[in-house]
Amino acid sequence: MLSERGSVGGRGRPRGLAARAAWLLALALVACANDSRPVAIGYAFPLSGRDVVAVVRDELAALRPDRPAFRIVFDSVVPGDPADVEVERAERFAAMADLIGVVGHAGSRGSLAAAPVYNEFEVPQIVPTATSRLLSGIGPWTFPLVPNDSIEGEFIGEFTAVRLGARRVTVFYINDEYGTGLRDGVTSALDRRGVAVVDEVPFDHAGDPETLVEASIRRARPDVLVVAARQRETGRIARAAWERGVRRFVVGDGALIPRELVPLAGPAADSIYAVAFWLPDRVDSLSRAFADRYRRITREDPTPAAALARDGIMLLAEAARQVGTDRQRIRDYLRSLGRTRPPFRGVTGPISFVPGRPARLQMARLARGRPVAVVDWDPTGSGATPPGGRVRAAW
Amino acid sequence: MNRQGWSWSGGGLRLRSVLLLLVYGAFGYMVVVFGLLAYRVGSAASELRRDSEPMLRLYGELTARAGALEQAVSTAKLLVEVGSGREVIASKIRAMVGRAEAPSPVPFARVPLRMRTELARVDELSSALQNRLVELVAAVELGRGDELPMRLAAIDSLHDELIVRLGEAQRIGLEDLVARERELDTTVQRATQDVLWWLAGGVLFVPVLVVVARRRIERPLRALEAGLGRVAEGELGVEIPVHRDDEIGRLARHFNQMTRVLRDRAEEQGRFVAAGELLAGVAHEVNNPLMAIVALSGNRATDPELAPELRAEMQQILRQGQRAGKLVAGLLRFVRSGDRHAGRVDVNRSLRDALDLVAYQFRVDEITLESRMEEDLPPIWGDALRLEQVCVNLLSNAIDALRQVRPPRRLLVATWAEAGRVMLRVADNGPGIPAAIAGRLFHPFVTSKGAQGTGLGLYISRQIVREMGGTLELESRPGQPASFLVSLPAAQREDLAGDGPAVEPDRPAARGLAGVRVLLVEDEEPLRRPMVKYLRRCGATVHEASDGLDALARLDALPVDVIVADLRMPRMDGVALHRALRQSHPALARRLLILSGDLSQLSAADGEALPRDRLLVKPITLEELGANVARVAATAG
Repeated sequence: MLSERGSVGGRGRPRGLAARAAWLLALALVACANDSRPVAIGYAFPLSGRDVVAVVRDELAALRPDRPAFRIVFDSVVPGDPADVEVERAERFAAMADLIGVVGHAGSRGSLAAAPVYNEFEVPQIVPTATSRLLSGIGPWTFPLVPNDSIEGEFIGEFTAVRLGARRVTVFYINDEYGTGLRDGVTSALDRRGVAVVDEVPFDHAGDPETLVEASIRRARPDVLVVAARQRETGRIARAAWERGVRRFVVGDGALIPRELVPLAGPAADSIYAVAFWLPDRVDSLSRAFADRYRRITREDPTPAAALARDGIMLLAEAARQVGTDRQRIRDYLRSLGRTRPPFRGVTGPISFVPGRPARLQMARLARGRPVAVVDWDPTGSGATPPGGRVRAAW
Repeated sequence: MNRQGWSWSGGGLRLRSVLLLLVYGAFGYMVVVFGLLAYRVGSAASELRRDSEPMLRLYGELTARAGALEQAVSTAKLLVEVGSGREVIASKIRAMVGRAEAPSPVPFARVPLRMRTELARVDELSSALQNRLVELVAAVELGRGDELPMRLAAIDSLHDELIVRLGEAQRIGLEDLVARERELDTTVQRATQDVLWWLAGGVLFVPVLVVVARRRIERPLRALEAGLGRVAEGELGVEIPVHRDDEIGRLARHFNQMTRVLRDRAEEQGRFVAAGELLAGVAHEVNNPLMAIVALSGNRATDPELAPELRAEMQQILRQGQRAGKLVAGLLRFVRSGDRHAGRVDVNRSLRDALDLVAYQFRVDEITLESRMEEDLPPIWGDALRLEQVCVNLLSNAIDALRQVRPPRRLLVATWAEAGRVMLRVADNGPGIPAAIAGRLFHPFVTSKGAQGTGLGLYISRQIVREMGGTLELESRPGQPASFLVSLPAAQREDLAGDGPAVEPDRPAARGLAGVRVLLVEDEEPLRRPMVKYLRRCGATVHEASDGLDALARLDALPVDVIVADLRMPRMDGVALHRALRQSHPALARRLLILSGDLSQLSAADGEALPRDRLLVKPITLEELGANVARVAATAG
C-alpha cells in the first residue's frame, strides 16, 4: 500500500519579522480551523491508476489554501483478485478512523464484494469504473459514477448492429459480473435488431483465449467480435481473431487503456471500437486542464478510468470541504447532488446520483494507438455535443 | 377546568378520567404485553428469514451450478477414454456448461458477511471451471487431443477445490443457521420470560385496580346509598362525607345540600302544620261565639216588635258575623286541604273562595281587583280545595309583586271557557319575572322573593294543575308585567255521572217544624239559647241537654225525632253520642245532626260513620239550622 499526502499551504521558511508574524498568524488560523485536520481518502484501483494520485495531489495543491488537507491512501488492486481479498481490503479501509470515503474498487466483482463492507461500516464508496447493475441497489453508501452494463451493452449492441451492420456476432466475455452483465446487454440489443449472436464464449485472465478464438471462429464464422473484458485479454483475443480473418471488434470500456491494449492487439488495434466514458480530446476547459496536467506529470495520455478516478477523489474532497468530514454528512451531500444541490462538475461531466441521471457514452476507434471518438451517444436524450465535430450517432 | 378531557378538579382526578385511565391502562397493558411478544419474536423470526433466504437461495443456485459442472466434468473424463466421437461428447459438454450459468444477478450483498466471501469464492471457482471446460471443448474441436490430459488435470484440480469450498460454504451456512436458530430460541425464551414478568406484574396490578375502584367508586356509592336509605326512612339529618371533588364527590355534596334543604323545608312545614293546628283550634273557639252572635242577632232581627233602627243594626251584626264565620271557615278549609277529594269543581267558586282569603290585602295594599269571570262555566273534574290552593298561590304572588310598584296597582282575574277547556288567568301590573329565573320559574326552590320565598309555590301549583290534566304557564315575557294562565279540561259527561250534585254543601230550604221533637245537645248556654228559641218559634218541641251523657239520660223519658248535638262537649262529645246512639237507639242515630267549628277533628272512621249531609259547620244561620232539622225530621216518617 502506498500512502500519499496532499499538501496545502506554503512550507517556505519565513524571513524577517513581518514574514515570521504572518507565518505564525497563518499557522494559528490553520490550527483553529476545524477542517484543517488531514483526512484520508481511500483509493483502491489497479496499479495503472497510481498516477492519478500524483495528478490529484498536484491539482489540490494548485487550489486555494483554504482547502483541507487530504491523505490519499492508495491500495493497488490486481484484476481478478478473489472476493475475500477485496473484502479484506475494504475492511482495512473501514478500520481507518480518519477515512472520509473510498474511491474504488476497480471492477464490478471487486466493487460488489467490497460494497457490503462499506455499507456495514457506513463509509461512502464512490465506484469509478464498475458497471454492474447490482451496484445501484447494493446500499445507501455506494455511489457508482458510470452508467450500468445494461446501458453500455445496449450501446454496444446498437452500434454493432446499426453502425457496423453486423450480421453474425460472437461475444467473448470475461466470466465475472462485468462480463456477464455486458454480454446480457449486448445480446439483448442485438436480438432486438435481429442480429444473430452466433456464439457466446466465456473466458478469464488465467485461460487460453487463443484456443477459444480459433475454435469459435471455426465454428461460428462471425463478422464482428464483441469483447467484454479488460485490455489484456481483449488485446490477445483481437490479435488472435485478426489472424483468423475477423476485421471488426467492438469492446467494452474496461479495455480502453491504449498503452496496454495496442501492443497486445498488434495489427488488430486500429480495427477496435471501444466504449469510452470520457476521452482526452474533449474540448471543455476542465477536461483540457486535466489532460494537460496528466500529460505533464505522467507523460502519457490520460485514460477514461484515470479521469473517473480523478473525479471520484475530487468529489470526496469537495464534499468534505462543503459539509465537513463526517461520513454521514458526506453521504447526504452525495445524495443531494442533482436534487437540492447542483451536480458536481467533473472532468467526465456533471455528476449526480439521481435515477435517470444524464449519462454520455462515446464510441472511440483507435487510430495510431490513440482513441478517437466516432459516436457520441446520450441515452437519456440530454443532447451532448460530440467532441471535435466528430460523427454523431445517426441511428 | 376542562370538562371534556383529562382534568384535575380541585383535590383529585375526575372519576371519568380515572375510569378512562383504567380502561386505557388495561388496553395499553394488553398492547404492551402482546406487542412485546409479537415484536420480539416476530422481528427475530423476520430477521432470520431475511438473512437466511438470500443465503439459501444463493447457495441453492451455486450448488445447482456446481452440480451441472460436475456432470460436465464427469462427461469430460470420457474424452480421454474414447478414441472417436469426441466432437459429440464435446457438444454435450458445451450444452452442460451452458446450463451452468452463474446466478444472475448475484445477491451477495444480502448474504451474511461470513458466508458471503465463501459463496463468492465458490462462484469464482465455478466460473473458472466453466472456462476450463469451454477451453477443453475448444481444444477437442481443434483436434488437440494431446492437450486433453493436461487440461483435464487442471479441471480436476479446480473441481476438487470447488467441492471443498462448497462443503466449507455448507458447513459455514449450517453453523450460521444453527447459530441463528439458537439466537431465535434465546429470543423466544427471553420474550416469553418478559411476557411472564409482565403478566405477573399485571396480576399484582389487579389488586391495585380493585383498591382504586373500591376507594374511588364502591365506597362512595355505598355511603351514598346508605344516606339515601336513611333519608327514605325519614332521617333528614344525614350528612355523607365528601372526600374528593370528583363526580361522586360532587354527587355527595349535592346530596348533603339536598338533605339540608329538605330539613329546612320540613322544619318550615312543621311550623306551618303547627300554625294550622293552632288556627283550627282558634277557629273552633271563635266559631262558637260567632254562632251565638249570628243566632242571637238573627233571632232579634226577626222580632216583629223590634224598632226598625234596631232591626237594621241587628241585621248588620248578623252580616258581619256571617262574614267573619265565612273567613274562618275558609281558613280552616285551606289549612285542612291535605285530604284529596276528586269531584266536580266550579272554577269560579274556587277562585272566589281564594279571593275571600286574600281580599283583605287588597284594601291594605291599595290593589284594585278587576274580575272578569264568565258565568255558566262548565265544571272541571278535580279537587276544589287544591284548585283553591293554586289560586291562592297565584294571587299571593301577584300581591307580593304589586307591593314592589307604586299605585295604581291592578290585579286581573279572569275565567272563560275555550275549546272544551276552562281557562283562568291571574295578571298584575307588577315588575314581572326577572329573565334570570324566568326559564326555571317552575323548578323547585326557585324564587324571586329571596329569603321570604320557599320557591315551592309555583312548582306545587303546576303539579296540582297537571294532576287535573291541565297546564300552568307564564304568559308574559321576562321583565314584562306577569300573567299566569291556567288551562283545565272541562269535565266529561262520564266524569259527572255518579257524582252527586253537591258541588257545594246543601242549602236546604226552610220549612215548618210543627210537631217535630228536637233534642238540642250543646254545652254552651249562650249558643244553645237562641237556637232553642228559634226552633220553638218554628213550631218544634225542643228539649235541651248540656252534653252527651245528659242527652242519653233524657232519651229514656222523652220521645225525640231529631237530635242536634255539638261536636266538642265535656264528658261525652258528639261523636261518642253518635256511637252510643247506634248501640241503644239506631234509628235516632240516623237522625243526629252534628254541629262543629272544625270538621277536620273528626277521625276517618267517625267521618265515614257520620254522613256529610248531617254535619253542619259553624257558624250557620238559624234558617239553615231549621231547614236541616226539617230535612232530617222528614226521614223519621
